[in-house]
Amino acid sequence: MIKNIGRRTVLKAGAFGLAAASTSSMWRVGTANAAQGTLRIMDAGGVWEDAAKKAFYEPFQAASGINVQYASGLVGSIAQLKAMVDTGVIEWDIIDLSMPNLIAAGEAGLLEPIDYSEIDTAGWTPGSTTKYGFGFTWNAHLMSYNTEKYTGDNVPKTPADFWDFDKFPGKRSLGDRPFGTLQFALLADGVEPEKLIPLDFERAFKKLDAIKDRIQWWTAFAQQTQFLIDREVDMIAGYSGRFQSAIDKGAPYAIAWDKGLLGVEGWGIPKGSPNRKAAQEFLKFCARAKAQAAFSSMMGFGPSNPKAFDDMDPARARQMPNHPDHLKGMVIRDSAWIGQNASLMTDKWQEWKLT
Amino acid sequence: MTARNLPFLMGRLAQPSWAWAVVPASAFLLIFFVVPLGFVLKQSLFSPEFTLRNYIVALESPVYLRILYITILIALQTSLICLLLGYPVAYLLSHVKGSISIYIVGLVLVPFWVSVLIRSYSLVIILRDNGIVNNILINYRIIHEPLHLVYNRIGVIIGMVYALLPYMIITIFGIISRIDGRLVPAARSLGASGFYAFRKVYLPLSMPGISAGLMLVFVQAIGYYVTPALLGGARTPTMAMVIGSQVLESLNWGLASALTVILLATVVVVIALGLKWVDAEALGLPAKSRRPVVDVVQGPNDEADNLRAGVALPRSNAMESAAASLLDSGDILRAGHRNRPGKVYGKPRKKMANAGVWGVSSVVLAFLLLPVVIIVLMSFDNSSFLRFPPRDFGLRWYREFFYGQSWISATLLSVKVAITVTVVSLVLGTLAAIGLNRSQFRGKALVSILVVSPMIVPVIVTALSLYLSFLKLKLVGTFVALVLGHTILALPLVVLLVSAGLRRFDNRLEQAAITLGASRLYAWRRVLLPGIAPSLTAAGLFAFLTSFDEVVIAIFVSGAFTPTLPKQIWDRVTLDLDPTISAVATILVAVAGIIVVTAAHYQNRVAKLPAQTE
Repeated sequence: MIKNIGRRTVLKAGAFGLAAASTSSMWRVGTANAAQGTLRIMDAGGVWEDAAKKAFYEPFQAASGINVQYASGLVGSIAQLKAMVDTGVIEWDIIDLSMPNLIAAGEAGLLEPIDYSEIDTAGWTPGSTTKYGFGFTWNAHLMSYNTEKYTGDNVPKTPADFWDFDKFPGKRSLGDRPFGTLQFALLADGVEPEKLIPLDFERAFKKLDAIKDRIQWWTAFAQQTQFLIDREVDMIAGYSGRFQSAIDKGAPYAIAWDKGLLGVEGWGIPKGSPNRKAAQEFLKFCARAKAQAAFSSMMGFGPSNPKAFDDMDPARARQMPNHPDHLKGMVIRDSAWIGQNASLMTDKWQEWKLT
Repeated sequence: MTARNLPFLMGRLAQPSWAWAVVPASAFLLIFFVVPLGFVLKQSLFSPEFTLRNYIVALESPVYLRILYITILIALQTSLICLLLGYPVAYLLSHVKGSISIYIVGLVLVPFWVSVLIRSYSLVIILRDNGIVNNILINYRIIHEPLHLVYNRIGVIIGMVYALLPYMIITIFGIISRIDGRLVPAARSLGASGFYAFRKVYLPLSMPGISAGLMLVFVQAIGYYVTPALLGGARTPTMAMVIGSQVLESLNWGLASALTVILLATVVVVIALGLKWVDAEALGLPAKSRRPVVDVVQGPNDEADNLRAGVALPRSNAMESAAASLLDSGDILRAGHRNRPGKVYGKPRKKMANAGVWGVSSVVLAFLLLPVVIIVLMSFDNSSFLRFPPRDFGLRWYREFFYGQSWISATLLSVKVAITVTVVSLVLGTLAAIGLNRSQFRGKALVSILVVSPMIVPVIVTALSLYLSFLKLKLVGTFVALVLGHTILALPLVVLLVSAGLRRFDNRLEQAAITLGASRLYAWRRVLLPGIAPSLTAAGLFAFLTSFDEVVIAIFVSGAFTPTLPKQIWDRVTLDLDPTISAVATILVAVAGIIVVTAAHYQNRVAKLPAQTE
């Protein structure tokens, strides 16, 4: 949905009936004929959007005077981006995607290159920014475990422990997605972090074959959080932000940071956006440490600007996957390779699942 | 009446051709469904020049054919289980009196009011390893290790059965409520055992309902998307999921289109084969002969040819019979309309349904109700996440619903869209049903295929094609776009249900009215429409619910904007399940409950009317 800050009545306009609609312009409940100077943002929705609104949208609108509209469309946003560029009707000025998707979309001609001339990214977590993608929020694919089930020194620490059913009996969950799961298997099999890419599919699948039948798979992202809240599994590999959200709500779980696979998510500018200038202004605002700190304080995702850690509660800061305390043990994902090979990975994954 | 009036009267009585009545719905679907779909499906053959590459990829890869096989297998299993569970309930429904039947129909329809997301989650709570079912079985020492009932194929089938059972029950009920209650006693008086009489008399007479129910469930099970994803885990990929991932993630629309065409073709073939088998079993039912055999219009520029090409099948009787039989699906939801017009069936049945039927039906109804009960209980928990059983009772999530402005406005918009969709699809669909039922014309089989095709195309493909077209027409983000998109989905149901009602309506009543001086319009208003009112009610209800619960098209054609209720719910579960959705579900179920109680009350009043006329 789109919300128009300070002009909530637009929502009401969206809910008017058939009888009232006599002219074609009145039929338009949306905002697509955006006036110049209005920035239209497509984000991930839900709690994510609540945080982005407070950390970025509202302060940016107050500071710049540029009207911000935002909407969520996690499902299908890349497909819609392609449809918009194909038809030449651009409905959004900013889109939120993962870095591999931003790179793939950029190389497919769906995004504008980003102008970094006025954005200082010195000292940022490596890989935060690319030609088509402005990453501002870091997540890590790693392991979380039940602290009531595994106590004392006998807690799983590395991906290899995930495979050790003798030492750590209990229920396991993995993502039904190739992007994190394959590399997690390779790390567990002892592949050096710098040698993960290009992916050795055969080796990864062989490792997964060993435990395939004992895994409870998560498919929708929300299931990761829900599995923890419901204590459905004892050990799970997935995304740190999702686990943190469950832990924040009292689920008895801890995160094993070692050999986590760091990935970044952020903004892209759709090709042909009529508000590129405003979009660039917005990115400049999102680079600020204070804004990123506000966002990360609300969401369990780490800032790309490390100065943001100083503006955060220290305990909260240490929950971020790219906090200096964790960073040295982490592996930074090769977004470019994944972006270029996403279809291949999906196909191979489907094939493997059926064997 | 004088002789002078006679020619005038003859003129008024002569049945006009009703073929024109199919024009509005056909034109609507051609413009807003077929043409946009054509733009997308074209991508399977042109990229940009003609190529069969996508079909070769789809057919050569071991993956897609195997997933197609699994999808069809799951859909078949789902249909058969729905039949086994649904038949006793339908039987019971046709043997209970008065308002009880309305309450049973209310229970049967309960799943429709609860968003698929939270309904799936509620099923997980029941089925998981430490869930309700396993806890009970282990506590009573029936089993020692938990049964794995979810995150596998069993979970997918349970979830799909849950969602599709209502269609099966109501379809079968529509047919068997018409079976003459004296036939089984007659057979028994001639020496047949109860089971023999059922097998040889009752069952054959209910075959049209069974085949129609199987068809409706099968077609919908093929396209299921959310349920397999949430209840199946990784182990149960379906075609809809694969097509969805090609559309949404890989952006390989050519392959997605090729897979859609292959899926469509397979579904039509499976339905046609299934029909042959079912009909053979149907022991002399004249079902086949009732179907009009109509020439298919041949012409290079015929839009219909595009459709046929899209289905990648040679012109075949299979498709015609498949489409015709979809239109033949049973009479639906004559909820509580116990008093049939006329006295054909004579006395009310004395024999009540036996204990076995009651037993099975109670279990089935409990199965439909239990997830909803769990959701209602969870909604009164103040906890910041969904949990069961609730421990901290309160109204936090109701406050969230009523004070968070976006929920109310989303609900209002959904209601307005759904009402508009109901009106538009009732008008278009009723006209189309009249045209298809009352006249013979060239191309009728194609029109039949056209009006049911939106049920078969995976909704993700429909949504993408609408989005592309609406972008060009600058309709994205408008009220109109939502209404158009949802009407496409609601129209097939309306045509199916109203057709069923029309087949039972005695046309002579309308002619009698005209003989007595009524104008055609007056006769429609006072005779035809009241005569098919139960079907219209059912059609309207299903149209409303189809729109009210729809999320995929809403996500696409509302572009960035319009927050319908299902889309709002979808937005709130991207990170984890927002408990507000349990409060939303509870409120909707409560509203539905009020409607059911009112309907039962009203029905008790109406039920007396035919008695007075007799």
